[in-house]
Amino acid sequence: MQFGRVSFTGGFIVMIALVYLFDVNNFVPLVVLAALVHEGGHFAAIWALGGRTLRLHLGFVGLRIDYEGRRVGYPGEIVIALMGPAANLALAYAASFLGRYLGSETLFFLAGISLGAAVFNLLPVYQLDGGRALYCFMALAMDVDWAWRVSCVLSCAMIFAMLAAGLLLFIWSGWNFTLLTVAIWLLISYCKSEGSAIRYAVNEY
Amino acid sequence: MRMRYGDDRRLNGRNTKQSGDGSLTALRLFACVILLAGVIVIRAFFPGATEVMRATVLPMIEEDMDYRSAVTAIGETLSGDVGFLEAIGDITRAFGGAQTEDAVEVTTLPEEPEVYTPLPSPPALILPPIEEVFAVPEVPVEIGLLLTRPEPEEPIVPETPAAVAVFLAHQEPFSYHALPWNAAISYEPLQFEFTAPVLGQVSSPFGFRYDPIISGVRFHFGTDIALYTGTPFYAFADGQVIYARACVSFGKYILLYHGYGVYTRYAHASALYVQAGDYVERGQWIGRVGSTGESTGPHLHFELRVNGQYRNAEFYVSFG
Repeated sequence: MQFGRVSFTGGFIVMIALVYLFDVNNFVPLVVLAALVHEGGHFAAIWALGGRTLRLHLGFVGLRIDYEGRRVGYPGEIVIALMGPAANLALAYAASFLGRYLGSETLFFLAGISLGAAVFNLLPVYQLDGGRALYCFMALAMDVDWAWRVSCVLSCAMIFAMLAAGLLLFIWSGWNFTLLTVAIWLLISYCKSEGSAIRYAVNEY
Repeated sequence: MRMRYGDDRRLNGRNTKQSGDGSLTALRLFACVILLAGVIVIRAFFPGATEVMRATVLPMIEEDMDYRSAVTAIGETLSGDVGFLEAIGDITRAFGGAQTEDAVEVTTLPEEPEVYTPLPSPPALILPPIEEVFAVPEVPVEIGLLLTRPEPEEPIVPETPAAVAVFLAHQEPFSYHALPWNAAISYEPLQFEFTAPVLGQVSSPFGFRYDPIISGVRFHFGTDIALYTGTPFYAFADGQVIYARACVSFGKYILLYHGYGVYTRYAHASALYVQAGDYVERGQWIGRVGSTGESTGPHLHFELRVNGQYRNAEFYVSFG
Protein backbone atom coordinates (compact mmCIF):
# COMPACT_ATOMS: atom_id res chain seq x y z
CA MET A 1 0.00 0.00 0.00
CA GLN A 2 1.38 3.36 -0.90
CA PHE A 3 0.86 6.81 0.52
CA GLY A 4 2.84 9.28 -1.51
CA ARG A 5 6.44 8.23 -1.17
CA VAL A 6 5.85 5.89 1.73
CA SER A 7 4.79 2.33 1.07
CA PHE A 8 4.28 -0.54 3.45
CA THR A 9 3.31 -4.20 3.36
CA GLY A 10 0.94 -6.30 5.42
CA GLY A 11 3.95 -7.92 7.04
CA PHE A 12 4.88 -4.58 8.51
CA ILE A 13 1.46 -4.32 10.15
CA VAL A 14 1.76 -7.85 11.53
CA MET A 15 5.17 -6.92 12.93
CA ILE A 16 3.74 -3.84 14.64
CA ALA A 17 0.85 -5.87 16.10
CA LEU A 18 3.21 -8.52 17.52
CA VAL A 19 5.59 -6.03 19.05
CA TYR A 20 2.75 -3.98 20.49
CA LEU A 21 1.17 -7.03 22.09
CA PHE A 22 4.34 -8.10 23.87
CA ASP A 23 5.72 -4.71 24.72
CA VAL A 24 5.81 -5.01 28.51
CA ASN A 25 8.73 -2.69 29.02
CA ASN A 26 7.08 0.11 27.05
CA PHE A 27 10.06 0.32 24.80
CA VAL A 28 8.19 0.73 21.49
CA PRO A 29 7.98 4.55 21.58
CA LEU A 30 11.70 4.72 22.32
CA VAL A 31 12.51 2.23 19.55
CA VAL A 32 10.42 4.30 17.12
CA LEU A 33 12.33 7.41 18.18
CA ALA A 34 15.68 5.65 17.69
CA ALA A 35 14.51 4.40 14.27
CA LEU A 36 13.42 7.88 13.21
CA VAL A 37 16.79 9.33 14.16
CA HIS A 38 18.50 6.47 12.34
CA GLU A 39 16.60 7.09 9.12
CA GLY A 40 17.07 10.81 9.63
CA GLY A 41 20.81 10.19 9.52
CA HIS A 42 20.46 8.36 6.20
CA PHE A 43 18.20 11.04 4.74
CA ALA A 44 20.56 13.81 5.78
CA ALA A 45 23.48 12.01 4.15
CA ILE A 46 21.54 11.36 0.93
CA TRP A 47 20.49 14.97 0.78
CA ALA A 48 23.97 16.30 1.54
CA LEU A 49 25.50 14.11 -1.18
CA GLY A 50 23.06 15.31 -3.79
CA GLY A 51 20.96 12.15 -3.96
CA ARG A 52 17.19 12.16 -4.25
CA THR A 53 14.96 10.05 -2.04
CA LEU A 54 12.35 8.25 -4.14
CA ARG A 55 10.52 6.01 -1.75
CA LEU A 56 10.39 4.75 1.82
CA HIS A 57 9.35 1.12 2.07
CA LEU A 58 8.21 -0.45 5.34
CA GLY A 59 8.12 -4.24 5.32
CA PHE A 60 8.18 -7.21 7.68
CA VAL A 61 11.94 -7.36 7.31
CA GLY A 62 12.43 -3.72 8.16
CA LEU A 63 12.71 -0.43 6.48
CA ARG A 64 14.20 0.35 3.09
CA ILE A 65 14.98 3.68 1.51
CA ASP A 66 15.05 3.78 -2.29
CA TYR A 67 16.91 6.70 -3.67
CA GLU A 68 18.25 7.91 -6.98
CA GLY A 69 21.96 8.20 -6.46
CA ARG A 70 23.94 7.64 -9.64
CA ARG A 71 26.11 10.59 -8.76
CA VAL A 72 26.75 9.35 -5.24
CA GLY A 73 29.42 6.72 -5.94
CA TYR A 74 30.74 4.03 -3.64
CA PRO A 75 32.37 6.41 -1.14
CA GLY A 76 29.07 8.26 -0.93
CA GLU A 77 27.24 4.96 -0.41
CA ILE A 78 29.53 4.19 2.50
CA VAL A 79 28.80 7.57 4.06
CA ILE A 80 25.04 7.15 3.56
CA ALA A 81 25.08 3.67 5.06
CA LEU A 82 27.15 4.69 8.07
CA MET A 83 25.26 7.89 8.82
CA GLY A 84 22.30 5.93 10.22
CA PRO A 85 24.32 4.17 12.95
CA ALA A 86 26.27 7.40 13.48
CA ALA A 87 23.03 9.27 14.15
CA ASN A 88 22.01 6.52 16.59
CA LEU A 89 25.34 6.80 18.35
CA ALA A 90 24.93 10.57 18.65
CA LEU A 91 21.42 10.10 20.04
CA ALA A 92 22.72 7.51 22.50
CA TYR A 93 25.38 9.86 23.86
CA ALA A 94 23.02 12.83 23.96
CA ALA A 95 20.34 10.82 25.77
CA SER A 96 22.84 9.38 28.22
CA PHE A 97 24.30 12.76 29.20
CA LEU A 98 20.88 14.38 29.32
CA GLY A 99 19.68 11.43 31.40
CA ARG A 100 22.49 11.99 33.88
CA TYR A 101 21.71 15.69 34.00
CA LEU A 102 17.98 15.15 34.52
CA GLY A 103 18.30 11.95 36.51
CA SER A 104 16.00 10.17 34.10
CA GLU A 105 16.15 6.41 33.82
CA THR A 106 14.03 6.48 30.66
CA LEU A 107 16.70 8.50 28.88
CA PHE A 108 19.33 5.93 29.86
CA PHE A 109 17.01 3.31 28.45
CA LEU A 110 16.73 5.29 25.22
CA ALA A 111 20.52 5.61 25.13
CA GLY A 112 20.88 1.86 25.49
CA ILE A 113 18.30 1.17 22.79
CA SER A 114 19.91 3.65 20.42
CA LEU A 115 23.37 2.20 21.03
CA GLY A 116 21.98 -1.28 20.47
CA ALA A 117 20.39 -0.14 17.21
CA ALA A 118 23.72 1.30 16.06
CA VAL A 119 25.64 -1.87 16.88
CA PHE A 120 23.01 -4.16 15.35
CA ASN A 121 22.93 -2.16 12.12
CA LEU A 122 26.71 -2.32 11.87
CA LEU A 123 26.69 -6.13 11.67
CA PRO A 124 28.35 -7.29 8.44
CA VAL A 125 25.12 -8.59 6.93
CA TYR A 126 24.31 -7.15 3.54
CA GLN A 127 20.77 -6.05 4.51
CA LEU A 128 22.15 -3.95 7.33
CA ASP A 129 24.15 -0.76 7.10
CA GLY A 130 27.41 -2.37 8.19
CA GLY A 131 27.29 -5.02 5.48
CA ARG A 132 26.33 -2.50 2.82
CA ALA A 133 29.16 -0.17 3.77
CA LEU A 134 31.55 -3.11 3.78
CA TYR A 135 30.41 -4.19 0.32
CA CYS A 136 30.94 -0.69 -1.07
CA PHE A 137 34.34 -0.50 0.56
CA MET A 138 35.36 -3.82 -0.98
CA ALA A 139 33.93 -2.74 -4.33
CA LEU A 140 36.31 0.19 -4.23
CA ALA A 141 39.27 -1.90 -3.18
CA MET A 142 38.80 -4.91 -5.46
CA ASP A 143 36.71 -6.33 -8.25
CA VAL A 144 32.98 -5.79 -7.71
CA ASP A 145 32.09 -9.43 -8.24
CA TRP A 146 34.67 -10.54 -5.72
CA ALA A 147 33.35 -7.94 -3.32
CA TRP A 148 29.90 -9.40 -3.83
CA ARG A 149 31.04 -12.94 -3.19
CA VAL A 150 32.86 -11.95 -0.02
CA SER A 151 29.81 -9.98 1.07
CA CYS A 152 27.50 -12.99 0.52
CA VAL A 153 29.82 -15.33 2.41
CA LEU A 154 30.19 -12.87 5.30
CA SER A 155 26.44 -12.27 5.51
CA CYS A 156 25.63 -15.98 5.51
CA ALA A 157 28.37 -16.76 8.02
CA MET A 158 27.11 -14.03 10.33
CA ILE A 159 23.48 -15.13 10.05
CA PHE A 160 24.32 -18.77 10.65
CA ALA A 161 26.56 -17.89 13.59
CA MET A 162 23.63 -15.97 15.07
CA LEU A 163 21.27 -18.86 14.35
CA ALA A 164 23.61 -21.24 16.13
CA ALA A 165 24.03 -18.92 19.10
CA GLY A 166 20.28 -18.35 19.21
CA LEU A 167 19.62 -22.07 19.16
CA LEU A 168 22.10 -22.67 21.97
CA LEU A 169 20.54 -19.91 24.05
CA PHE A 170 17.12 -21.36 23.30
CA ILE A 171 18.12 -24.79 24.59
CA TRP A 172 20.32 -23.73 27.52
CA SER A 173 18.05 -21.08 28.95
CA GLY A 174 14.83 -23.02 28.67
CA TRP A 175 13.05 -21.54 25.69
CA ASN A 176 14.53 -18.08 25.51
CA PHE A 177 13.78 -17.36 21.88
CA THR A 178 14.90 -13.73 21.57
CA LEU A 179 18.24 -14.20 19.80
CA LEU A 180 16.84 -17.02 17.69
CA THR A 181 14.00 -14.75 16.57
CA VAL A 182 16.45 -12.03 15.56
CA ALA A 183 18.56 -14.54 13.62
CA ILE A 184 15.53 -15.98 11.81
CA TRP A 185 14.33 -12.48 11.06
CA LEU A 186 17.73 -11.67 9.51
CA LEU A 187 17.65 -14.91 7.52
CA ILE A 188 14.20 -14.11 6.13
CA SER A 189 15.35 -10.62 5.29
CA TYR A 190 18.44 -12.02 3.53
CA CYS A 191 16.51 -14.61 1.54
CA LYS A 192 13.75 -12.21 0.54
CA SER A 193 15.86 -9.44 -0.83
CA GLU A 194 18.89 -11.35 -2.00
CA GLY A 195 17.46 -14.54 -3.42
CA SER A 196 18.32 -13.57 -6.97
CA ALA A 197 21.75 -12.45 -5.95
CA ILE A 198 22.51 -15.79 -4.33
CA ARG A 199 21.45 -17.52 -7.54
CA TYR A 200 23.59 -15.16 -9.52
CA ALA A 201 26.64 -15.92 -7.48
CA VAL A 202 26.06 -19.67 -7.69
CA ASN A 203 25.42 -19.81 -11.42
CA GLU A 204 28.22 -17.58 -12.54
CA TYR A 205 31.02 -19.11 -10.58
CA MET B 1 37.31 -6.00 -14.87
CA ARG B 2 35.99 -3.08 -12.89
CA MET B 3 32.32 -2.17 -12.95
CA ARG B 4 31.26 1.44 -12.82
CA TYR B 5 29.23 2.38 -9.79
CA GLY B 6 26.27 3.50 -11.90
CA ASP B 7 25.95 0.03 -13.41
CA ASP B 8 25.99 -1.77 -10.06
CA ARG B 9 22.46 -3.11 -10.05
CA ARG B 10 22.91 -4.55 -6.60
CA LEU B 11 22.91 -1.04 -5.26
CA ASN B 12 20.73 0.89 -7.67
CA GLY B 13 18.38 -1.32 -9.58
CA ARG B 14 16.40 -3.20 -6.97
CA ASN B 15 13.36 -1.04 -6.57
CA THR B 16 11.37 -1.95 -9.63
CA LYS B 17 9.38 -4.94 -8.34
CA GLN B 18 5.64 -4.40 -8.46
CA SER B 19 2.98 -6.45 -6.78
CA GLY B 20 1.28 -8.68 -9.32
CA ASP B 21 -2.32 -9.15 -8.26
CA GLY B 22 -3.81 -5.96 -6.86
CA SER B 23 -6.89 -7.48 -5.28
CA LEU B 24 -4.95 -10.25 -3.55
CA THR B 25 -2.53 -7.73 -2.10
CA ALA B 26 -5.41 -5.62 -0.88
CA LEU B 27 -7.04 -8.65 0.76
CA ARG B 28 -3.80 -9.60 2.49
CA LEU B 29 -3.34 -6.07 3.70
CA PHE B 30 -6.92 -5.97 4.94
CA ALA B 31 -6.36 -9.16 6.95
CA CYS B 32 -3.27 -7.65 8.51
CA VAL B 33 -5.09 -4.46 9.43
CA ILE B 34 -7.87 -6.55 11.06
CA LEU B 35 -5.19 -8.40 13.03
CA LEU B 36 -3.63 -5.15 14.22
CA ALA B 37 -7.02 -3.73 15.16
CA GLY B 38 -7.76 -6.94 17.08
CA VAL B 39 -4.54 -6.68 19.01
CA ILE B 40 -5.20 -3.05 19.89
CA VAL B 41 -8.74 -3.86 21.02
CA ILE B 42 -7.52 -6.80 23.13
CA ARG B 43 -4.82 -4.71 24.75
CA ALA B 44 -7.11 -1.79 25.39
CA PHE B 45 -10.30 -3.50 26.54
CA PHE B 46 -9.23 -6.91 27.82
CA PRO B 47 -6.17 -6.28 29.94
CA GLY B 48 -6.95 -9.47 31.82
CA ALA B 49 -6.66 -11.63 28.72
CA THR B 50 -3.47 -9.85 27.74
CA GLU B 51 -2.01 -10.58 31.16
CA VAL B 52 -2.87 -14.26 30.94
CA MET B 53 -1.29 -14.56 27.51
CA ARG B 54 1.80 -12.69 28.57
CA ALA B 55 2.08 -14.72 31.72
CA THR B 56 2.35 -17.80 29.50
CA VAL B 57 4.81 -16.49 26.94
CA LEU B 58 6.90 -13.93 28.72
CA PRO B 59 8.32 -16.05 31.54
CA MET B 60 10.25 -17.89 28.85
CA ILE B 61 12.13 -14.79 27.84
CA GLU B 62 11.71 -12.45 30.77
CA GLU B 63 12.36 -14.47 33.86
CA ASP B 64 15.95 -13.85 35.00
CA MET B 65 16.54 -11.60 32.03
CA ASP B 66 15.88 -8.05 32.92
CA TYR B 67 16.26 -6.60 29.45
CA ARG B 68 15.29 -3.14 30.47
CA SER B 69 17.85 -2.97 33.26
CA ALA B 70 20.55 -4.34 30.99
CA VAL B 71 19.81 -1.86 28.21
CA THR B 72 19.55 0.98 30.72
CA ALA B 73 22.89 0.01 32.23
CA ILE B 74 24.50 0.16 28.79
CA GLY B 75 22.96 3.57 28.14
CA GLU B 76 24.16 4.81 31.50
CA THR B 77 27.80 3.96 30.76
CA LEU B 78 27.94 6.29 27.76
CA SER B 79 27.93 9.37 29.95
CA GLY B 80 29.90 7.92 32.52
CA ASP B 81 30.99 7.38 35.97
CA VAL B 82 30.28 3.65 35.81
CA GLY B 83 33.11 1.99 33.91
CA PHE B 84 32.39 -0.02 30.81
CA LEU B 85 33.64 -3.25 32.38
CA GLU B 86 31.38 -2.81 35.38
CA ALA B 87 28.50 -2.23 33.00
CA ILE B 88 29.34 -5.42 31.17
CA GLY B 89 29.26 -7.09 34.58
CA ASP B 90 25.82 -5.60 35.13
CA ILE B 91 24.64 -6.92 31.81
CA THR B 92 25.98 -10.39 32.51
CA ARG B 93 24.11 -10.22 35.78
CA ALA B 94 20.94 -9.10 34.11
CA PHE B 95 21.30 -11.91 31.60
CA GLY B 96 22.39 -14.36 34.27
CA GLY B 97 19.56 -16.69 33.43
CA ALA B 98 21.03 -17.21 30.01
CA GLN B 99 23.99 -18.95 31.56
CA THR B 100 21.97 -21.44 33.51
CA GLU B 101 24.12 -24.23 34.83
CA ASP B 102 23.25 -27.88 34.61
CA ALA B 103 19.90 -28.70 36.10
CA VAL B 104 19.94 -28.64 39.86
CA GLU B 105 19.73 -31.97 41.53
CA VAL B 106 16.66 -31.77 43.63
CA THR B 107 17.62 -33.35 46.87
CA THR B 108 14.89 -35.32 48.48
CA LEU B 109 13.80 -34.20 51.88
CA PRO B 110 15.72 -35.99 54.66
CA GLU B 111 13.97 -38.93 56.26
CA GLU B 112 13.07 -37.15 59.45
CA PRO B 113 12.46 -33.51 58.70
CA GLU B 114 13.05 -31.09 61.50
CA VAL B 115 9.92 -30.27 63.39
CA TYR B 116 8.58 -27.00 62.15
CA THR B 117 5.42 -25.17 62.93
CA PRO B 118 4.54 -22.46 60.42
CA LEU B 119 5.12 -18.99 61.73
CA PRO B 120 1.90 -17.15 62.43
CA SER B 121 0.71 -14.44 60.08
CA PRO B 122 1.56 -11.02 61.38
CA PRO B 123 -1.32 -9.27 63.09
CA ALA B 124 -2.63 -6.26 61.20
CA LEU B 125 -2.00 -3.20 63.29
CA ILE B 126 -3.94 -0.02 62.62
CA LEU B 127 -1.51 2.86 62.58
CA PRO B 128 -3.14 5.92 60.99
CA PRO B 129 0.00 8.10 60.51
CA ILE B 130 1.59 5.46 58.30
CA GLU B 131 -1.09 5.92 55.70
CA GLU B 132 0.13 9.42 55.20
CA VAL B 133 3.64 8.14 54.56
CA PHE B 134 2.64 5.28 52.30
CA ALA B 135 -0.27 5.96 50.03
CA VAL B 136 -2.12 2.69 49.58
CA PRO B 137 -2.29 2.26 45.78
CA GLU B 138 -5.56 1.82 44.00
CA VAL B 139 -6.53 -1.82 43.73
CA PRO B 140 -6.45 -3.06 40.13
CA VAL B 141 -9.89 -4.14 39.03
CA GLU B 142 -9.09 -7.43 37.33
CA ILE B 143 -5.95 -9.45 36.86
CA GLY B 144 -6.57 -12.15 34.33
CA LEU B 145 -9.78 -13.91 33.59
CA LEU B 146 -9.68 -16.18 36.62
CA LEU B 147 -7.74 -14.12 39.10
CA THR B 148 -10.23 -11.57 40.24
CA ARG B 149 -8.92 -9.40 42.99
CA PRO B 150 -11.50 -8.75 45.68
CA GLU B 151 -11.78 -5.33 47.23
CA PRO B 152 -9.84 -5.22 50.47
CA GLU B 153 -12.14 -5.16 53.47
CA GLU B 154 -10.13 -2.62 55.36
CA PRO B 155 -6.87 -0.84 54.67
CA ILE B 156 -3.94 -2.88 55.93
CA VAL B 157 -0.99 -0.85 57.05
CA PRO B 158 2.66 -1.87 57.28
CA GLU B 159 3.25 -4.34 60.04
CA THR B 160 5.67 -2.46 62.22
CA PRO B 161 6.29 1.27 62.30
CA ALA B 162 9.88 0.45 63.16
CA ALA B 163 10.39 -1.31 59.84
CA VAL B 164 9.06 1.70 57.96
CA ALA B 165 11.15 4.16 59.94
CA VAL B 166 14.29 2.09 59.46
CA PHE B 167 13.56 1.77 55.75
CA LEU B 168 13.03 5.50 55.25
CA ALA B 169 16.13 6.38 57.25
CA HIS B 170 18.13 3.89 55.25
CA GLN B 171 16.91 5.26 51.91
CA GLU B 172 17.35 8.93 52.77
CA PRO B 173 20.99 9.22 51.57
CA PHE B 174 19.96 7.78 48.19
CA SER B 175 17.01 10.09 47.62
CA TYR B 176 18.68 11.61 44.54
CA HIS B 177 18.55 8.26 42.74
CA ALA B 178 15.60 7.54 40.49
CA LEU B 179 13.55 4.58 41.68
CA PRO B 180 13.84 1.63 39.26
CA TRP B 181 10.80 1.21 37.07
CA ASN B 182 10.04 -2.23 38.48
CA ALA B 183 10.32 -1.43 42.16
CA ALA B 184 7.87 0.26 44.52
CA ILE B 185 8.42 1.51 48.03
CA SER B 186 4.73 1.72 48.83
CA TYR B 187 2.67 -0.95 50.52
CA GLU B 188 0.23 -3.10 48.58
CA PRO B 189 -1.98 -5.40 50.64
CA LEU B 190 -1.85 -9.09 49.80
CA GLN B 191 -5.06 -11.10 49.54
CA PHE B 192 -3.83 -14.27 51.20
CA GLU B 193 -2.15 -15.53 54.34
CA PHE B 194 1.62 -15.53 54.44
CA THR B 195 4.50 -16.17 56.75
CA ALA B 196 8.17 -15.26 57.09
CA PRO B 197 10.38 -17.68 55.11
CA VAL B 198 13.05 -17.62 57.80
CA LEU B 199 13.84 -15.84 61.03
CA GLY B 200 17.21 -14.13 61.28
CA GLN B 201 19.24 -10.96 61.07
CA VAL B 202 18.50 -8.81 58.02
CA SER B 203 21.97 -8.14 56.65
CA SER B 204 20.97 -6.14 53.58
CA PRO B 205 17.49 -4.68 53.31
CA PHE B 206 15.36 -3.86 50.28
CA GLY B 207 16.13 -0.59 48.52
CA PHE B 208 19.19 1.36 47.49
CA ARG B 209 22.44 0.17 48.94
CA TYR B 210 26.15 0.17 48.36
CA ASP B 211 26.57 -3.01 46.32
CA PRO B 212 29.40 -5.17 47.65
CA ILE B 213 29.95 -6.91 44.32
CA ILE B 214 30.16 -3.98 41.92
CA SER B 215 31.27 -1.31 44.45
CA GLY B 216 28.60 1.21 43.58
CA VAL B 217 25.08 2.25 44.51
CA ARG B 218 22.51 -0.19 43.20
CA PHE B 219 18.92 -0.93 44.03
CA HIS B 220 18.53 -4.16 45.98
CA PHE B 221 15.34 -5.88 44.90
CA GLY B 222 15.19 -8.29 47.79
CA THR B 223 15.91 -8.67 51.48
CA ASP B 224 19.03 -10.53 52.58
CA ILE B 225 18.80 -12.50 55.80
CA ALA B 226 22.17 -13.71 57.11
CA LEU B 227 21.97 -17.31 58.31
CA TYR B 228 24.19 -20.36 58.63
CA THR B 229 24.53 -22.61 55.60
CA GLY B 230 22.01 -25.41 55.92
CA THR B 231 19.35 -23.43 57.77
CA PRO B 232 15.95 -24.49 56.42
CA PHE B 233 13.74 -21.91 54.74
CA TYR B 234 10.02 -22.16 54.17
CA ALA B 235 7.39 -21.10 51.62
CA PHE B 236 6.01 -17.58 52.10
CA ALA B 237 2.48 -18.71 51.19
CA ASP B 238 0.57 -21.40 49.33
CA GLY B 239 1.59 -21.50 45.71
CA GLN B 240 3.21 -23.27 42.81
CA VAL B 241 6.92 -23.69 42.08
CA ILE B 242 7.73 -21.90 38.83
CA TYR B 243 11.47 -22.54 38.92
CA ALA B 244 13.76 -24.55 41.15
CA ARG B 245 17.10 -24.25 39.40
CA ALA B 246 20.47 -22.53 39.35
CA CYS B 247 21.81 -19.51 37.55
CA VAL B 248 24.98 -17.48 37.76
CA SER B 249 23.64 -14.56 39.77
CA PHE B 250 21.06 -16.19 42.07
CA GLY B 251 22.83 -19.49 42.50
CA LYS B 252 20.33 -22.20 43.38
CA TYR B 253 16.99 -20.53 43.69
CA ILE B 254 13.27 -21.13 43.87
CA LEU B 255 10.59 -18.94 42.32
CA LEU B 256 7.09 -19.42 43.68
CA TYR B 257 3.85 -18.05 42.28
CA HIS B 258 1.13 -17.45 44.84
CA GLY B 259 -1.64 -16.14 42.58
CA TYR B 260 -2.88 -12.56 42.58
CA GLY B 261 0.24 -11.54 40.63
CA VAL B 262 2.49 -12.30 43.60
CA TYR B 263 5.86 -14.05 43.14
CA THR B 264 8.50 -14.79 45.75
CA ARG B 265 12.09 -15.81 45.14
CA TYR B 266 14.48 -17.61 47.49
CA ALA B 267 18.06 -17.33 46.23
CA HIS B 268 21.62 -18.52 47.01
CA ALA B 269 20.32 -21.78 48.51
CA SER B 270 22.51 -24.77 49.21
CA ALA B 271 19.75 -27.31 48.70
CA LEU B 272 16.31 -27.25 47.07
CA TYR B 273 13.59 -29.67 48.11
CA VAL B 274 10.97 -28.86 45.47
CA GLN B 275 10.71 -29.12 41.71
CA ALA B 276 9.15 -26.87 39.10
CA GLY B 277 5.43 -27.57 38.95
CA ASP B 278 5.11 -28.70 42.57
CA TYR B 279 2.46 -27.14 44.73
CA VAL B 280 3.63 -25.91 48.12
CA GLU B 281 1.81 -24.87 51.26
CA ARG B 282 2.50 -21.89 53.43
CA GLY B 283 5.37 -22.71 55.76
CA GLN B 284 6.43 -25.81 53.82
CA TRP B 285 10.14 -26.56 54.05
CA ILE B 286 11.44 -25.92 50.53
CA GLY B 287 15.19 -25.56 50.82
CA ARG B 288 18.31 -24.75 52.78
CA VAL B 289 20.21 -21.49 53.00
CA GLY B 290 23.59 -21.36 51.26
CA SER B 291 25.96 -19.04 49.45
CA THR B 292 25.67 -20.19 45.83
CA GLY B 293 25.77 -17.71 42.95
CA GLU B 294 26.93 -14.14 43.45
CA SER B 295 27.09 -14.00 47.17
CA THR B 296 29.56 -12.88 49.79
CA GLY B 297 28.42 -15.23 52.53
CA PRO B 298 25.62 -17.59 53.50
CA HIS B 299 22.30 -15.79 53.39
CA LEU B 300 18.79 -16.02 52.00
CA HIS B 301 17.96 -13.45 49.35
CA PHE B 302 14.19 -13.13 49.54
CA GLU B 303 12.26 -11.21 46.88
CA LEU B 304 8.61 -10.29 46.84
CA ARG B 305 7.13 -9.18 43.54
CA VAL B 306 3.54 -7.97 43.29
CA ASN B 307 2.11 -7.28 39.82
CA GLY B 308 5.55 -6.94 38.31
CA GLN B 309 6.87 -4.62 41.00
CA TYR B 310 9.36 -5.58 43.66
CA ARG B 311 8.23 -4.65 47.16
CA ASN B 312 9.81 -4.48 50.56
CA ALA B 313 9.18 -7.83 52.25
CA GLU B 314 9.86 -6.27 55.64
CA PHE B 315 6.57 -4.40 55.36
CA TYR B 316 4.78 -7.74 55.34
CA VAL B 317 6.70 -10.02 57.60
CA SER B 318 9.12 -9.59 60.45
CA PHE B 319 12.32 -11.59 60.09
CA GLY B 320 13.56 -10.96 63.60
